[in-house]
Amino acid sequence: MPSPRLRSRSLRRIFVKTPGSHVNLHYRKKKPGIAKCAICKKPLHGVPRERPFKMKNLPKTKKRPKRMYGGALCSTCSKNSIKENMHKGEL
Amino acid sequence: MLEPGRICVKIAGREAGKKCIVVDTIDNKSVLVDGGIKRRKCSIAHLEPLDKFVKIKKNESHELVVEACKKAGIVLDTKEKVKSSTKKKARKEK
Repeated sequence: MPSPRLRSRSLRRIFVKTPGSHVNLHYRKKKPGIAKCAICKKPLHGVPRERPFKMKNLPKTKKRPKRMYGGALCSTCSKNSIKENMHKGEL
Repeated sequence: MLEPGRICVKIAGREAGKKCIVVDTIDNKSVLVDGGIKRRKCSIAHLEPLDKFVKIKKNESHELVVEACKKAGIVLDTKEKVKSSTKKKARKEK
């Protein structure tokens, strides 16, 4: 039986195979949710799903695509918004 | 169609949102673009044409394309990247 603090589901469980052919249960903190497009709510590509301490140490180029609205909008939504801004005469 | 001299905005890739000028047509799907971006072949699907037009010859060189844009009063963001080594040299000279 795990200790009471580990019985909650706020921690994720990982089964680790040991060299002695046993399976041990390890507890780790959960990962944050997937980054989504601000308009269509589709999951974004090229944005890692990591905890803040790991995101902090990643280089900026590995955290979002190097594009206008990269990391905020998906490619199709950014295409549409660039077109809209263009026809308004902002670009 | 996209003819030489037409000003477009790129809508895909890392150069999305930047202005460019069609220099040449390669086939019915792709054109050669230059100006605010690196001179390269580009698919028509990745370009959105503007109603502006610049008078240039077919296959004009990069310098002349930029000059023609300046004359027409079209602002291109042509910031040339400076190598870090050249920056260091400039600092040492100071």
